[in-house]
Amino acid sequence: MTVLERPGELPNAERRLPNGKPSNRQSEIGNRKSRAPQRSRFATYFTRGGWVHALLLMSVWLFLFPFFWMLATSVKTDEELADQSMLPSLVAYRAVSPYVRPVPAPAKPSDVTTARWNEVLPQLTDIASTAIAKYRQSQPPVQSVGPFDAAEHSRAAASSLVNAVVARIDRRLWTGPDDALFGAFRDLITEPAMSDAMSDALARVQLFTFQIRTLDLHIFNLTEGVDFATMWRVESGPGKLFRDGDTTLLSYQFDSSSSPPVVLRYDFRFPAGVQPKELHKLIVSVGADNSWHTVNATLDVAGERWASVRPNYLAQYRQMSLLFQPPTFDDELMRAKLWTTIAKTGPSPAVATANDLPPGDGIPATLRITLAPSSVLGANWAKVIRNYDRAFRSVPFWRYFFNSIILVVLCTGGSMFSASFVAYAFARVRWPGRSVAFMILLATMMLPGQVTMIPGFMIWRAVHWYNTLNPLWVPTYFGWAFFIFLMTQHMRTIPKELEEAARIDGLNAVQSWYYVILPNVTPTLAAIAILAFMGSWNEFMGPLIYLRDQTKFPLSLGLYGLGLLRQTNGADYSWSVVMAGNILMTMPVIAVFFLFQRYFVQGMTMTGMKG
Amino acid sequence: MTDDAAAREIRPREARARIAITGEPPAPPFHHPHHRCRGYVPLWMALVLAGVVAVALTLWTIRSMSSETADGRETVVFWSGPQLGEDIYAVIHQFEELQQNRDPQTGRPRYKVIMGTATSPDVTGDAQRLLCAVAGEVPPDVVWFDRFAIGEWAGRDALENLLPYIKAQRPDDPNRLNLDEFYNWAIQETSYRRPGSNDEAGIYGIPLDVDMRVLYCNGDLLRQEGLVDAKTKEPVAPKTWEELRAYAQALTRYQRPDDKLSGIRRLGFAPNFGNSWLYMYAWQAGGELMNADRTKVTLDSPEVGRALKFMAKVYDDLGGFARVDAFQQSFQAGELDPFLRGSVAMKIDGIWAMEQIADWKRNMDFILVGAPIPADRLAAGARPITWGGGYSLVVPKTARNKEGAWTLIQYLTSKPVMTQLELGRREQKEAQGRLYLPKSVSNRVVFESLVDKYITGNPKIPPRFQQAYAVIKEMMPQTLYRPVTPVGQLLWNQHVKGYEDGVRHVFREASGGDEDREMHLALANAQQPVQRMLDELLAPLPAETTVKWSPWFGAYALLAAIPFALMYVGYKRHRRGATTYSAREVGAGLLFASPWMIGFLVFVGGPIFFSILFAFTRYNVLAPAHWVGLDNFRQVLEDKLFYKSLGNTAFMILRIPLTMAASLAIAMLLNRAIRGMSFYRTACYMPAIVPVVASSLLWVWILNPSQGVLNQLLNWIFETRPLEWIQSAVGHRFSPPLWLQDEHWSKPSLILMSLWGAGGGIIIWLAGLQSIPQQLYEAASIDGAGPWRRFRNVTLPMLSPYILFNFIIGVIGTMQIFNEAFVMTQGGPADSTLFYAYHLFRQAFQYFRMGYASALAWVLFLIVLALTVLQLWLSKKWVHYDRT
Repeated sequence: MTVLERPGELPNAERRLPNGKPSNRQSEIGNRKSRAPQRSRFATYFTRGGWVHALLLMSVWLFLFPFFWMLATSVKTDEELADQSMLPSLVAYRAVSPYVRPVPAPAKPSDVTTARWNEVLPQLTDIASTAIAKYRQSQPPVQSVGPFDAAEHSRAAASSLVNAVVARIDRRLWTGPDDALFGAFRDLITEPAMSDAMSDALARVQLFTFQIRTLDLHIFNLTEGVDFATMWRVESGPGKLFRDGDTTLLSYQFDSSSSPPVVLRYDFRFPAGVQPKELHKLIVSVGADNSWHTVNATLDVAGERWASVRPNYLAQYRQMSLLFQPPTFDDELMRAKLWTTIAKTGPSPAVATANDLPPGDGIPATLRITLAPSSVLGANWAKVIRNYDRAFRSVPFWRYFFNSIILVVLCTGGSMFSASFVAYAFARVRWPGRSVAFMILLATMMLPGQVTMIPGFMIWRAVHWYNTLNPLWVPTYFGWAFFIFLMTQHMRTIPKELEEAARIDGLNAVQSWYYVILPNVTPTLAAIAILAFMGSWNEFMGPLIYLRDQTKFPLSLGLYGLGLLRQTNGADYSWSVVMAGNILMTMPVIAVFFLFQRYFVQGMTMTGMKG
Repeated sequence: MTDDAAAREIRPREARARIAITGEPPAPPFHHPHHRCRGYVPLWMALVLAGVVAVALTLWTIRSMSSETADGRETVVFWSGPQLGEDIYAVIHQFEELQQNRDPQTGRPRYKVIMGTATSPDVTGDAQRLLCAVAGEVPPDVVWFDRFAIGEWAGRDALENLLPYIKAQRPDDPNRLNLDEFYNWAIQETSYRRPGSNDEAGIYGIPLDVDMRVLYCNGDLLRQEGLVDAKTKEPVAPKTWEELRAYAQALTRYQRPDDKLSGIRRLGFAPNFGNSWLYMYAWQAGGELMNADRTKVTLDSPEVGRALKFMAKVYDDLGGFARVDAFQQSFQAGELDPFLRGSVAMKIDGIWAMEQIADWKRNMDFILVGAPIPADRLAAGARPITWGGGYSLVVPKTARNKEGAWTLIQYLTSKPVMTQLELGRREQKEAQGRLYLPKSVSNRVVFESLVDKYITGNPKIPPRFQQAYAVIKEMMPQTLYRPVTPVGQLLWNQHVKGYEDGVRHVFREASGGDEDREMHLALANAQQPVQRMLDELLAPLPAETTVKWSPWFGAYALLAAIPFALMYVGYKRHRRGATTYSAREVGAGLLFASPWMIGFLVFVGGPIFFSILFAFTRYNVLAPAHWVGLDNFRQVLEDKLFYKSLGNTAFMILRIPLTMAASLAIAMLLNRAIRGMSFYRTACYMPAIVPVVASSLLWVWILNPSQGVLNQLLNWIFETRPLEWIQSAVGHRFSPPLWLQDEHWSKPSLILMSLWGAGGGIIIWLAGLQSIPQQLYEAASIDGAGPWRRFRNVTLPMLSPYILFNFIIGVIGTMQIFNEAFVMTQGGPADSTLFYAYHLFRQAFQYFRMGYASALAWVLFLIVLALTVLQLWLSKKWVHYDRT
């Protein structure tokens, strides 16, 4: 049927079109070659039923948007959170470092008018550029093994300098004469400000310190700052160490992501009297260049080689400590595991010869830090899983998960059993007081949980079940009013004859419940199972009251703890990690819901509202 | 034996024949035993399986109840806090391995320390878990504990007195604790004696760290205002209250110059920004909040009144408390801290705030001095005062391994370990390229040696920090501390209330404009509940009011027997009457109903019975209960928070019609669009199944005022052309709300979050909509009804039973709302999300008032009951039941 056959609808359609909602059918219709104007065809579709889909799609978007936001947040870096970007950015392949770091354009201070700002900004930038250019003369050039765009660096540094200095200017000066403003601006350009600006505009890998910690809590500084340039060396690969102020800079140039890695080698002696087995951790403090290249470590000591079991990434532009740690007591604790384990991989090739080593009588050892290029894909994948990895390692995730699974299995089983068992008494068996009991059952649905919370706690205390999982699942075996009610409603619909026949066959009540009734109430059982699953998976107050030890926490309480870590430890646990934990906790529920949705809907519609 | 074979055996041939004769076809929707699917487990097998699982669970329970480790070491359960740092784990490990902690014969370690953390930033903020653990008789052995709460717990006899342990130390003990090395006031803060008594005070905790409050000034801003020394040109901090007030006015900037009503742009000084509280000013004015023997609360005294008046005056100078508060709401932490950014020129804050300066702006020109005091007192020779607090390690009274606990405490508070923990922090800081500032530990000797070694004269430390440490070192020994009293928490809460009422001028009208009288009224009002609670605690109830529980158990047993007796009577009577019960059937009924009956008697009936009894007692779980008659209910009616929390909860009822309308609208759309139904349904349903902890955390993030997506969207919308135009027309710039941080927006935020979960209702609505006969709509259309009238006159009446059901369930659920508030807002801001259930939870598990909480629970039940009955009664007017 074409539009023209139903002219009555046309005016209506045209009236609606200007605020027509987008529809998934629009493009499909647009592709068709049609004699009728395509507008009216779309309009017809829209007025007939399309608007329903449009509205539904809009509400679906509203409902799903928080999920997208949660997902997007979970793969963002902290900088991206601070920048308030909607979507996480992609990581680009980084071939050469150091390189010029993109800096934001100078921001207008809030009490300056836009006109005034546009008027003076070029001159301010000029002043800053001149100052930077002059400052640059007095400084050693940025060293690199690859090409480095010094002009671009100056430009970015000037921009950063303007940004920093305008924020410090007295607000009255903006409305005054230009000379006074520029004078104040010049006065605020100090050497530290310029140095900061130059540094802000440069992304590079810096080496700060290398420390060894022993199990008896001693800390030994083995290399500091500029010493890296002299004491460490590049064993292989396209890299070089340079002195950079009071630190050391590592410059590299990878031709492609399959280039050989840069291997840094350091031959050293363990501090006198320290045995390798007393080693707690190796700490390398570095500044990262946001290249997402991988960093690995190997340690050769006492004839054995230890290698890190998973890569670290040079993520973000911030200082960080790479911790490498052999297996210790730490591994058995329920603490946040922020280090990279190094494990024995076999015998080591010969350790450094005596003439490589500083004199002394500590045990000789060799540390190699390997910087391998990441491909675009690899870097982005690393970025995606980074926060999930952090969430996994900040809390004993699998322990929580295991506890949750135990609880869920026991609670779901209990609810299914007790609801179907007890409902049989209410639906299929006649006994005195049944209807009164049923009324009482319904009335308990109204009882606030708070009324029984305190005495309930004392009951479990009396049987010494505080700090066990039992108080959380045992009650499900005694039936929960709402489930019994659902089940009773369904069982009442089963024809009597079915059971009478079984009775005549010699089945007793339990047998006929098991063999005749149960197979007929599977949709409701499924609905109860799903509700019980979600209830126990989400249970929060019970674990909060009844559990003392972290080893017994389920996910709900454990992840609440992850949220708290963010409050107390601030920057180390950003919202991205919390959101990653959230997703890990939500996924099982959504998976179960998707798999058993059909039964759930069936069970709910069948019994939900017949009361 | 296959399942089919089993089925054949159970169902003899005759039965099948009978079905054939009666012509009963195996109804398709009902599964017949014949058509049992393969793999259906036979009953006996199911029973065996259940038995095996039960045995396994019993064994597992027994194992999880024991506190032994597998290798036979004694466990010491230690609840530590995040502030102890990462090195605490290594220190604990070292403790386990120590030579003196090994078995002399076998040489194996004696202790296994199990580290646990609170589920809250600190244990005191979450007293509930500790109380549960103490009441559950498996408390941790050592707890990292806010000293401020020691009086509260010691007063209830829940903590172990450590004085005997200290006295019993051997002189050659390597970790011997020497109290003389500690700051005396910190020890005093852990000492408790019964108010008014002359007993020797016990020591209930060993302090770990100390802090104090000082005045911070932004030197640059002072310079800009010319507040500098005439000769040295160095900025000068205020010394008296009068100067402070003048400084505050001079340094404050408004959105429009000199228009206080236009809003603040830079705050010179606000009395309670940072961390000072009324305590600080009361002490400065020479007042005290409790008398010397701690039997009387002296909140309502002339000195405290003077302090409060001063605070109110400073706020009034700046345009009133509400405006200053609104400005403070926009503050952030970390790098964006307002003091660092120069949006606050002066503040009184703890010395811990210095670390923020060191981390983010180490070259800042800040001045740290003792806070000013009134000029007349300064003239009279009074010195600037400061007050402090901090954490300590305590041992619960019922701890299982007190010996191990004491050994661990001794070790952790010994000089080498305290120093070691600090050095670990130093390494961490320096490895991150940051400045290390020694934390003020409670051991004076350790603290002073750290300062001497790492601060004084260290060229890497900017001079301002060196000057600050000199001030701290000098003032720390004279630090004041809050009274150690069993009503400490309530006194604190009420002193905050008194302060808020004072600076908000709540009693201005009642006082007739007399400011002194106004402050007196605010303080007297705040003081009264504290004094009452203290009196209650000090005048123990007579012994004869002690509750003896055993007769009541008997009474409950009797009560529980009554229904069964009635059932027996019913059974006998019916045997004589027309309808009869067969004994077999009644037996089966009881068997099947038994899980529920047992469950009801134990988990519902019993708790109801006893919670009624609790409601008439004063009971804190740790000590025996006492009868107090109707006292709890009288207190409920006088409790301001009761009304506040009830009001908050009532407000949340708004979410029921909103979510119902939203989900009904979607269901009606779904009812029209058959294609893609399951996709839409799933998508709309998904938010409803997200675990409440996860969705709460997600929404805290979405609603974050500065970085959340909602405000980003709003900001973007406000900058679009049409809204720019409206804003310039109205002459007012819109700014997005602060959501959960704003007391007026916090509840609407929670409602918004429940709207997201509204999709949960659509399945039931769909069922309802599909049960409406199509003829009704056709008939209505023939009568000329348009879509709206069809909805109004057909859909709504036909759905009314569903609406009623959902409404009743919704009201019951809303009255119990708890998790969202607990996870998202902790009841704040300004108690605006303190819901009824949360108030009750706090009373029970934070203030140990089980009796009062039970009374609250019963009041809640009565309210729910009344609401339900009311709805059912009203429903007669609008609910349509299809009688056909």
